[in-house]
Amino acid sequence: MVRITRMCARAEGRPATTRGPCAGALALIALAAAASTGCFNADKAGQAPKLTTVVKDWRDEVVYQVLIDRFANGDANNDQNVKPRDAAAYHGGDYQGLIDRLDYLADLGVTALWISPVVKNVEEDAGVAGYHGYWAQDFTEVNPHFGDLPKLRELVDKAHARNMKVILDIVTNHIGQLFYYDINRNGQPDEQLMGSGTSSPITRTTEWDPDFDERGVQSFTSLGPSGPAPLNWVWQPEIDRVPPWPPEFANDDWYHKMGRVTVWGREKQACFDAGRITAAERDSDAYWGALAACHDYVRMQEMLGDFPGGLKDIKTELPEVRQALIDVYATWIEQAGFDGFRIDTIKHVEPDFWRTFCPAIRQRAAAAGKDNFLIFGEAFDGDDELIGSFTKDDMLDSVFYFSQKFVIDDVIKNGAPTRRLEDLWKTRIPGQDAGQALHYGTNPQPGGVVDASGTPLPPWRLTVNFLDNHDLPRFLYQNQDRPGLHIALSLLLTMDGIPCVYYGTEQDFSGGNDPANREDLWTSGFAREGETFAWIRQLTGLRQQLAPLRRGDLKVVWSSTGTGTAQDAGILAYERTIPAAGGAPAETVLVVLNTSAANTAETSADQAGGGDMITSFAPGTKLVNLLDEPDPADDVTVGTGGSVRLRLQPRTTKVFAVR
Amino acid sequence: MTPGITRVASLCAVALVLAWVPAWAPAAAQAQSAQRADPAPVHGTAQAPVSPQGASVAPSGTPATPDTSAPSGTPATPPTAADIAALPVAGADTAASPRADTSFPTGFRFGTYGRVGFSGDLRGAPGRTTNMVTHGARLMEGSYAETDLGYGIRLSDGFAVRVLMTLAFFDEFFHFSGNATQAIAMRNLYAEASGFLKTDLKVWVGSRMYRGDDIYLLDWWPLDALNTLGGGFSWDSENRAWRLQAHVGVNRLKDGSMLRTVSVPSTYGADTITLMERQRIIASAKVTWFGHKLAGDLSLKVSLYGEYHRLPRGTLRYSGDYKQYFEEFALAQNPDLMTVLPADDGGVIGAQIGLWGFGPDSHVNLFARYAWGLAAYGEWGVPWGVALDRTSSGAKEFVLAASMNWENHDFGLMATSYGRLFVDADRNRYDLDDYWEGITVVRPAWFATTHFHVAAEVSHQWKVPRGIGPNDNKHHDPQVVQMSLLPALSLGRGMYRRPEFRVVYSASWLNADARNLFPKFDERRDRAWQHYLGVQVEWWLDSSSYP
Repeated sequence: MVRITRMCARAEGRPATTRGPCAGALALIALAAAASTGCFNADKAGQAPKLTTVVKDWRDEVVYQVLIDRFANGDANNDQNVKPRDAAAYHGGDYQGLIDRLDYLADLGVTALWISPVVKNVEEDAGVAGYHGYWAQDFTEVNPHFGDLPKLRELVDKAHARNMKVILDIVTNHIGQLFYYDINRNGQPDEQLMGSGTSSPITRTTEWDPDFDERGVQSFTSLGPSGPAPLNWVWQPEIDRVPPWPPEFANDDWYHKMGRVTVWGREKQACFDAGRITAAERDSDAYWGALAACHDYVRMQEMLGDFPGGLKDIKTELPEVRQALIDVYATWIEQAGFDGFRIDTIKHVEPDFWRTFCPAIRQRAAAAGKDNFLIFGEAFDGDDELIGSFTKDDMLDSVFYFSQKFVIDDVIKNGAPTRRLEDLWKTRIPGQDAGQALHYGTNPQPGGVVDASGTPLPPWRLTVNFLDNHDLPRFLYQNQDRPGLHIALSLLLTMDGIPCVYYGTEQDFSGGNDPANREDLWTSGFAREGETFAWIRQLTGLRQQLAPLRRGDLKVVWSSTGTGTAQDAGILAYERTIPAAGGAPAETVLVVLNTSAANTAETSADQAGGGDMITSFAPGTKLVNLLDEPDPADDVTVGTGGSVRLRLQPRTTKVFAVR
Repeated sequence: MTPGITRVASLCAVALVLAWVPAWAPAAAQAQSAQRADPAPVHGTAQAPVSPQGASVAPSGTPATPDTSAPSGTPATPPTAADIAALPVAGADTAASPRADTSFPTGFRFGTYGRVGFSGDLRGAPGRTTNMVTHGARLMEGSYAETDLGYGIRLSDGFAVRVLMTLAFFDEFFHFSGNATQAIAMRNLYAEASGFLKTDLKVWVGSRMYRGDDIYLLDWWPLDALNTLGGGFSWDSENRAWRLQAHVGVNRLKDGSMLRTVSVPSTYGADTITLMERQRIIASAKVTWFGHKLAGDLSLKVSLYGEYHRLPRGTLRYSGDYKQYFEEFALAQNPDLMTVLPADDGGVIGAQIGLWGFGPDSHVNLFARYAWGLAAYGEWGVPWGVALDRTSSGAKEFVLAASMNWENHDFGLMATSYGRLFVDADRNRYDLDDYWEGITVVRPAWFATTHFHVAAEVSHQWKVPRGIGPNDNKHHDPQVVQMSLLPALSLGRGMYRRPEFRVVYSASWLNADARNLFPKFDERRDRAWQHYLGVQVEWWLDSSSYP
C-alpha cells in the first residue's frame, strides 16, 4: 500500500522518493498502478467543479462573442465531418483552440467570452451542419465537435485564471428539427404540391417546416382537411436526428405544433391575411405594433410558431417544461462554472416564462456558489419597447440593444442625425426625459446582478451593446469603411452598458449574412498588428483605465439634428460620470465623436443661432484627450458655464478627462 | 410425355437399378478388379481408398449451387481392410499407451476440390441450369473450388493432432465477370485430436462441414450434411464394426430471425447495438454398423442418424435505462424489430443402408430421412410459412433416396433417384410451398480407352405442389427431362476418376408447368427445349472433406 501511495505520488507529480537504477521500470509500473488504482483521478474530471463568483461588476466587462467552430482549431481529433470550404459545414474550431488563443483575446482587452451553444446538435439538416449550436438534440451532452466536458471545464478554468468570464449561449425556445408534421398522413416526411391549379390554388408544403396555422398544423389528404397533423419523431442516429434528450422532451404535448412563423417583415400583410386588420389599416402608415389586433397576432405567431428551419417551438408555458429547462441549463452552470447566460430568441418565448426561468436559474447558480450571474437575451427586433420589456421585473438582467444597433447603423453608415441615439436612450435612461416612458427595467432583478459594492444594478444599466453578430451582416459588409467601424467601436466601448464585440471584427472581417458572416478566424493568422485590432485594444485599455467609461452614468451633452454639412452634423458628445460618494469626488469623462463620414463638425450651433456645447465641468477645467496619440490641440480649457467648443475631423473620437 | 407415366417410369427405373446391381455386380467386379492396373482413388459412399499417408483421398461433391447453402465433401468412409490391418492389434500396445491412429496425416498437406468450365445456351448467352427440384442434376452447376491446407502432428506416445482449413471460392470468377471481388467462404477450420486414450476416440473442435455420404449425380448429402461451428467426437470399436459419432454446434445467421441490430446515437454519428441475438443449437448423433466382407468382398453398413435443433426465444435485450424512450422511438418505428419470436425446435431421424464390394468403386446406398419442425428447413434455413405462433411446428420433410454406382473395365453405370415431401408449418392445406418432388438420373458410360470415355445422362425431375397456380387456378405438374452426352478425358477408367475434362451437351425439355416456374417475363417461359453446351473440368486431389 505504501508503495502504491508512492507511485501515486509520482504519477500525480508530487515528490517521489524512489530513485536508483530501477527507477525507469518502477515508473512504468507506477504508471500502470496509478491507472489501475485511480490515482490519475480520471474521476476528478467527472466531479462538478467548485464554483465561485468571479465577476465584480458586469459593466467592467468587454464581451467577445465566439462562434466556437470558427474561432480556432486546437484539436484535430474532433475534426469529424469537417468541410472547411463549405460555409455551412463544421470547420474544426473547438474549445482547445479557444484555450490556445486566450492570450490573443487578453491582448485585445477582452474580459468575457460569450461562447456559442455547447449542447449536442442535429448533425446536419438539408445540407447545413449544426456547427452553430442552435439545433439542440441533447440538452445534456457536449457537442463532440468542440471537445468534451473536461475540456469545456478547462476552458472555463483557464479563462477564469485570466479573470475572463465565460457566458454560455442557450436556447429555450426550440429544439432542432427532430420531428415532422405528417400532413398527408403517409408516415414519411414529404414536400408536396397541393391543389389543382383550377378549382384550388397550387401550394407547396414541406412537412418539416409548414407555415403557421393558429389551429395547429392541419393534415390534408386528397379528400380534404383531416384534422391536426400527427407529429412524427424521427430516428436517424447517424445524423443525431433522434428525439430530444432528456427523454421527457420527447413528448408531443411539449410543443406548440403550429408551424413556422411567417410574419417576418410582412407583419401587416400577415395580419390582413389572417383577417385581423382591414385593408385600410394595412395600407395606412400606422406601425403594425400600434394596431392592437395586428400586434397581438404577430406576437402570437412569434411566441407559438416554429422558428424558421423547422426548429420546433417548445411549449414553455407548461410548468413541467419550465422546470425541465431550468434543470438542464442550471446543470451546465453547476457542471462547468459559467458566469452568465446569453439566451437565444427570447421574443419567441412567452414573457411569463422568464419570470419563472430567470429567478430559478439565479437561485441554482447562487446555490452552487455562483453569484452575480448575468442573464441576457436576444430579441432580434428594432422595437425598443419590445426589447426592453424582457428586462422588466423578475425577468432578464439585460438584453442585446438591437434597437440601438439599428440606429447606430443609420447614424454612422447612413449619416442620420445623432439625435436619434439620444432620443433612443431617453427611453432607457431614467431622468433624461421626464415625459418619456421607460422601456427597460428600472428595478434590479431580485438576486440578480450587482455592482462591485454589492448594490443591485437595474437592467437599464446593463444593456449589451453590439455592432453586429452571427445573425447580421458584419459592420463592414458592403462598405469597407474602416473609419466608420472605428467610430462605431468608439461608441460601443465608451457608452454605458456592456460592450460586446463579434469575433473577427478586430480583423476587419466583412462577411454578409449567415453563413458568410461566420468566417474562420484562423485565416487572419490571429494578427495583432492591424489597425482595428489596435483600435479596439486602445479603447478597451482606456475603458479599463477610466472607471467612468465602465460604470459612469451617461448624460448626452451634445447631439445633432443636422445632417450633411451642418455645423454639428455627426457630433455626439456625452459625459460618463461616477458621482461623488463616500468622500470621493465625482469622476467625469467626456466623450466626443464625429460620426460623419465627410463633414468636419463642431460642438456648436452658433451658425444657427445656438451656442456651444455645455458640459458639467467647472469653467477653467483643463481637459486632455486620452485617446490616440497626444495632440496639444486637444488640450481644452472649459469655458464659461462649462462650455466646450471642439472641432472634429470626420470619423474622429476624443475622450477627455480632467488633466 | 404424360406426367404420370414419366414419374412412374422414373421410379421403376431406380427400382430396377437397385434390384439389378447387387445381383451380378460382385462377379463383374471380381472379373474387373484383376484387370485394373491403376490404384483407383474412388469416390462414393462405400469405400474410399487410402493415401500413402493413410488419409482418404477421394472427396467429391460440391455445392449444388454456388451459394453457401450446400456444402462440399466426401462420404463417410468405413475403414478398408488395409486400414484395419495397419492398425495396431488390440493388446499389442503397452497397457499405458493410448491407441495411435495412423490414419492421421502428419506434416503439411494440401488438397483441393474444384470444378470450372464455360458454357453457352447455343444462343449466345452462358448456359443455365434447367433444374427445378431442390436437388437437381449437377451437370450444369457453376464453377466452384476448395483448397485445403492442413497440418498434422503425431507424437511418439500416439497422440496426434491435425488442423484443417478449407477455403472455398464461388462462381463467378474474375476472368469471367471482370469483377475482382471474389466470394470466398471458410468451409473448414477445425482441429482434431486422437491417440489420447486406449480406445479409438477422436475429438474435434471448430468450424466444419460435417457430413456423411453423398449422391454424386445430385451433389447432395441426403442423410446428414451439417455446416456447423462446434465440436464433437468419433469413436470406433476395436473391431471396427461400430462407429459412433456425435456433435454439438451452433449457428447464428445474419438474418432478422436470429440477429437484429439497431442504430443509436454515438459521439459522432451512430453506433449499432445488438437488440436480439439467438443462436441455433444443433446436436447430431450417428451410429453405424459395418459388416465387412460378409460374402466375398461384399460389405454392408447400416447407419442410424438423428439431429436436434433448438432456437431459444428471440428476446429483445436492451438497457432498462430510458426504456420507454428507446422503445417508442428507436423500435416502434420499425415494428419488425419489436416482434418477439418464440423458441423453436425440430429434429431429424434417418437411416442409411450401404452395400459395396461388388466391383471397383461400386456401391448401392439407400437413404431415408424424416425431419420436422425447425430441422425441416435445414440448418441454414429461415422458416417460412410458419405456424400461427410463429414457430415451425408442423413443418416436415420426408426423403427417400437411392444411389448406386457399378463399373467394370469397359462400362460404368451411375444412377440415383429420390422422392421428397416438404410441408411448411402454416395451416394452408393447398399451398404451393407444400409439395412432393423427385428426380431420377441414370448415367451409363463406355470407357473407350484408359483415359477416354463417353457417358450419357438422362434425368427426369418432377414436382407436385399441393397448391394451385395463381394465374390459372389449376394444379400444376411441372416436369423436366434432361438428356446429356459427356465425352471425357480422365485420369483412368472409372466413373470417379479425376481430374476429368469433359464436354457436356444437354438438351432439356420443360413442360408448360415447369416453364411457368420461371419468373414472369423470363424468356425461358417460352422455350420448351433449352440447350446447354459446356466444357468442364472437375478434380479432387487429396481433398479432405470428410467426417
